[in-house]
Amino acid sequence: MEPFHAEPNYIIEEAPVFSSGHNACPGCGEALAVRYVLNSMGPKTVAVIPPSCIAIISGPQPYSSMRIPVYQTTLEASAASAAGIRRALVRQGKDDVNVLVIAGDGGTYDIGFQALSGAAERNEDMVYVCLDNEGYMNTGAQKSSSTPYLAYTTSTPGGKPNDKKDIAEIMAAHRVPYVATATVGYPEDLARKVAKAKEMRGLRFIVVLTPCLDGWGVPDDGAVRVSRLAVQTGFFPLYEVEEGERYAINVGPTPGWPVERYLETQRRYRHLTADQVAAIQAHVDHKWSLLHARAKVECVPMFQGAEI
Amino acid sequence: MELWHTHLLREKIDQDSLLVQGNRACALGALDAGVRFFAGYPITPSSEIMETLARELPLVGGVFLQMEDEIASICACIGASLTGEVALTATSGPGFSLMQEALGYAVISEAPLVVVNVMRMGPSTGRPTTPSQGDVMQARWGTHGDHPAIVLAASNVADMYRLTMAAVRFAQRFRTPVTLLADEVVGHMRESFSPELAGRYRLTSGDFDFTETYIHPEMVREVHPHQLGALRHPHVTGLIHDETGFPTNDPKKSEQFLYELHDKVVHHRDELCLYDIKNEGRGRVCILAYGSCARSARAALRLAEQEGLPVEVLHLYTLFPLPVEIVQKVARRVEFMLIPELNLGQYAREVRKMAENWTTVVSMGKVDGTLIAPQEILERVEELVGKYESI
Repeated sequence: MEPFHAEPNYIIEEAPVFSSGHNACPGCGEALAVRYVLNSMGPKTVAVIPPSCIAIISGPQPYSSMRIPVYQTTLEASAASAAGIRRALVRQGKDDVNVLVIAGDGGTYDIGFQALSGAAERNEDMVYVCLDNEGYMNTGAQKSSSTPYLAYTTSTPGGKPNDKKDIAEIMAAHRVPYVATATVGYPEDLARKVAKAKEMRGLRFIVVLTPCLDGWGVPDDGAVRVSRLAVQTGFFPLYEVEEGERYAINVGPTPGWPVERYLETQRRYRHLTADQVAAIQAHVDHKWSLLHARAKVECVPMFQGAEI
Repeated sequence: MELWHTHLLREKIDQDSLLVQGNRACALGALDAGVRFFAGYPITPSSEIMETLARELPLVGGVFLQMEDEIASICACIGASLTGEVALTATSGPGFSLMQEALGYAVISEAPLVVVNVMRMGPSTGRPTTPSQGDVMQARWGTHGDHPAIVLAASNVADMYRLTMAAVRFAQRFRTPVTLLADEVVGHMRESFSPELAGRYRLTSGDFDFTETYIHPEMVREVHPHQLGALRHPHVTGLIHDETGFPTNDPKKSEQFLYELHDKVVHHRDELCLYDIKNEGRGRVCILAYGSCARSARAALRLAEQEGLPVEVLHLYTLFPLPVEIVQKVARRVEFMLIPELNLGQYAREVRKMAENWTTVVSMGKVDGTLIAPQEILERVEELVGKYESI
């Protein structure tokens, strides 16, 4: 596949919702994502945030870094809480307020999944953004079901034996109006997707890969570089799915760039053997071929209606 | 004896001493007691228990599972327990709340398991990195319905090790979930202690002893008899059931079943209620304490001795079943019972029920997220003694 970038000249329009002086670690990839998400959503937004690094970033009272109402809910209930807020706002005639969930991967892939799946099935009207740093980084870097295959965490000291859950595909299978993947290394792509989601109705889901410096073992200035490498090596494809079937791949991988270029930037992969790297490469290649097949799929009717 | 402390003794820093973190000590206690199954979910301030077992359990052929939430964690433990394993999970306040339904299931299905709750300030998300004892009554009555509860409270790193062992044994013996309460300070502190373990806790029936017969590997692998012994096709249910394991709506059988569940714990208080008394029989004021407050109480006792104040300390390691005998025995001879605790007097109310016929029960709660200092307890003791003398 040739390298391409769907909309490299997208102009980010930022409203000053997220302020500096927040509580994230210096160089945090997630804080960058919070900035583009909040500032693209604008001031007429209610944020629902479960326990996570995002809850820390949003700041201890009274020093909120977010100039919007923030509802810090319980870890398992983000989507359900947001559904309650949205339905009540509609009842009060306040249809023009955006309801935004910003949850981590633990609160989305694991403990919050039941509430999210229920909200998706009911097609609740909200934007759900998962800031995915591939583990429970706020409690000391334990694995989540988003942690990739063979990555080290404190609860997978020998490397995680299972693959990362494909949350974008799971959400697409709920046939919600909009599903997208994004990452902080491509801020114009991230901001465009948030702005696009904001204008739609129903459950809109965006998963954003946000490197965790401490949990991944990346230097302070490395978040953006690692994030771009994840896309360029094909490890984390950027794509959109509308109504569960219309796929569009937004940024193509760089031809000939092995996944090793991405893995070698992080301490959590430094125990890998050459065979293991090859296994990860094969896995990435396979997932690319599946994504391609879905993006180009031609519909063949299952039932022609001729003979019964 | 050393045979039973293999994991702990590996932590030795020299001939005589160990330096271990509380949460790690809990994990080592579980390993040495024969726990070979852990399922859990990360939560501050208990995650180190999970992290230690993630490394150690596979090395001894055990199962380590990280689940998708706390509901799944305790349910996996119940599943393992029904196969004959003794399982352990560890969590903190919000996770303990999620576990409550399944905790009741473990009670009614008589599944032995240990739940470690390293308490943090609540309610809800609260303050994750501050100590608290706010979950005491939740540990007793958190799940719905009438049920027995065995609740232990650890006050230091040595307790985290030994009481985990005791919790495993109690779970096995009484076929019921056992809750071990610690708080953030106990879980996160590192301190040294002597590996010499026997005879530190007392029971009304004598000294509590960690001997080979007490922590015996065969004992922790007992097969669950209620289901497996009763029929060839075991039936395990959360419904009220009779001795066959199958559900019943019979009023007589239902009542009998609930009484059996209750009595098997309450009628064995003399085996379950671990305690220690300092300055026994010489106090006009008894400081009754548990968990990290017991450390402050012991320090306050030393200060009181310097000032010549008549104080004794009743340190409880078992909170439930209520240690009625020892509390009433002490209550009969002291004028005041002072209960310092990091909540709004949850256990003081229990003590009042047991002791108010004989003594004045004084609650001393604190909920600002800091520990109770020995000096604060001393000041309260001075107040009480002074008050008495002026009457």
